[in-house]
Amino acid sequence: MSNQTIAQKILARVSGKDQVEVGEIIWGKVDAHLMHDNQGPFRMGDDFKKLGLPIWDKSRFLLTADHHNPPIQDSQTHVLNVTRSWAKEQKVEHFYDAEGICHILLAEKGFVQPGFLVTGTDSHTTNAGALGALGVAIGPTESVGVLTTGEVWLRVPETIRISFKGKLPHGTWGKDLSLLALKDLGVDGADYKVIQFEGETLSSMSVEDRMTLTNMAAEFSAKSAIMEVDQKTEEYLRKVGIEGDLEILNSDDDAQYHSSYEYNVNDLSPQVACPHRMDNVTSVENVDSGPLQRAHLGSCTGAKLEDLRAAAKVLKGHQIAKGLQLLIAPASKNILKNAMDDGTLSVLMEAGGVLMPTTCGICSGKGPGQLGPGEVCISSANRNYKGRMGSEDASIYLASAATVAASAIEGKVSDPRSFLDE
Amino acid sequence: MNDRILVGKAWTFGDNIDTGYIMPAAYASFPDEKLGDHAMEGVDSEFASKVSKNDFIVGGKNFGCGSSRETAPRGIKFSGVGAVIAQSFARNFFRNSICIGLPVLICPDCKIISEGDELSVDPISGEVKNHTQDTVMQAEPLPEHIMDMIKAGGLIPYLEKTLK
Repeated sequence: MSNQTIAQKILARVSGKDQVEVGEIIWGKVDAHLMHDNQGPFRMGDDFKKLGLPIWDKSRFLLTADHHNPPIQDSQTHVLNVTRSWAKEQKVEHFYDAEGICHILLAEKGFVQPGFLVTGTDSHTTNAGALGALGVAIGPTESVGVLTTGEVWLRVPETIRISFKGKLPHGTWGKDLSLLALKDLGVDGADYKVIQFEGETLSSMSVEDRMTLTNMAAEFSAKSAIMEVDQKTEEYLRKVGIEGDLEILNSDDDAQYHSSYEYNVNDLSPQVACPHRMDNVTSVENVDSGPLQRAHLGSCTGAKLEDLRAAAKVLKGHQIAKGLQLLIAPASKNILKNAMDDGTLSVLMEAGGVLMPTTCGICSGKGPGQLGPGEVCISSANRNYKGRMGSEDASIYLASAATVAASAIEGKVSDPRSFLDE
Repeated sequence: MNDRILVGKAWTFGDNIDTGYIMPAAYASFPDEKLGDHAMEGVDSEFASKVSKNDFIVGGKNFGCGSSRETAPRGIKFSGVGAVIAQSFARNFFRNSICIGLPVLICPDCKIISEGDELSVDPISGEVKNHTQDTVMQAEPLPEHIMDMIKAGGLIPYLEKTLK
């Protein structure tokens, strides 16, 4: 076997072939499947019933109630109740109700392994790439197909290689790398393609921080994202309880790529995506936001333990600005517990933060705390188009958790480096 | 004329129309039949009241990017729109549309279509006739198994046929 990228090797394995060619359509066996309340039983329950077939493999299926949970209107309560009844009716083995955000639970609960094909009814299913798995988004109707057959059709995609060289500088995280590349490639830069992230910079990053890169591949319109597995990945996987041999796949030296991008990050400044597009990116020192009413540490991409710790480093001994609310929604109960145990949460609360449920919250435009007309917010989440977090007349800046924290102190988009020790 | 041919007016939109603009998150918990009243609300709040049955949405590049929410194509379908034609689609929107039986046509030249043009579209052959401009365009051909799904009217009727 030669000329193959990791993505091609995974698609070859799940379709029972030695190798696959770009453009080929394959039917692949799904190793793990995710569905959530917003793209779940409320939309597909009737169609699923119509086929009258059971779930193909309950041990590989994760269902979450995270988007509408807790509800702020009756129609959401209804969606949640439909989700719960369906879970009971179908005897779903892994249903998590307000426990955390689906992509983080998928990783934390050990559903993802290197070499896996993961499908999910959410665009950020690409998150699984940080663990060496190919995560691909589908919709709730297509989820009926996966749930009944355990298979999905996929066109073998081209791979874009994004390589980071150098050491991640003081005050920067995975989010800054992601925004840096988004500025270049744009919001349609990887449509139908897989992004393979690589380079020495990744080796010094935690697995959680690497997830920010694969998660936000969705913002490039990518079909999926992938990374090679290293010692840190393996430690993460063992910690979440995965035993036995891991399927470690690397791209061949003569693998074919659609295009390659290389960034030297030694002099990188914290990056900010300005309203109203994720690729409207500049360095933090160029941003003049005016007063902020909201700072938000939340979402599957911006409220992992490492994100909360970074924010706490900045906020320690400071108070947030008057007239601003700092909303903190840890991405899972497990992350919340760890943040309580190591003191991170106390720092965030003492600085004036408001603790929110461990679900998607305002990031998906559904939870409490949404933005009103004219309000300006900085968020560690992944999308900032008009109306994403409430009113279409609100403005959203996106940045790392550290930059969100520094901005909460100053009341305007601000550089975290002055709050951090070298 | 073949009864699968759709005839209607064109409503044109720009590049990178996000699914959040097509169907704002506020309607995520609305039942299907109410989604149509809010189609395209994030870019044109009056679209649902202006559009007539079997009209067409004509998009630019990367139509339907962002969230994979299926409420986006469902809202368009329930608003009465017969098909979406775009220079290119974001993959999540494209797949979801085929699954729910909303015809989607990739037409790299569709930028020349103007708002209000009278079109007739064959979702199976991919032929797009512009009666206002007196031109004919051909959408990109799709793989056979996708055509099977389109001919069946979506994934569920397709699975009903193939699994039973």
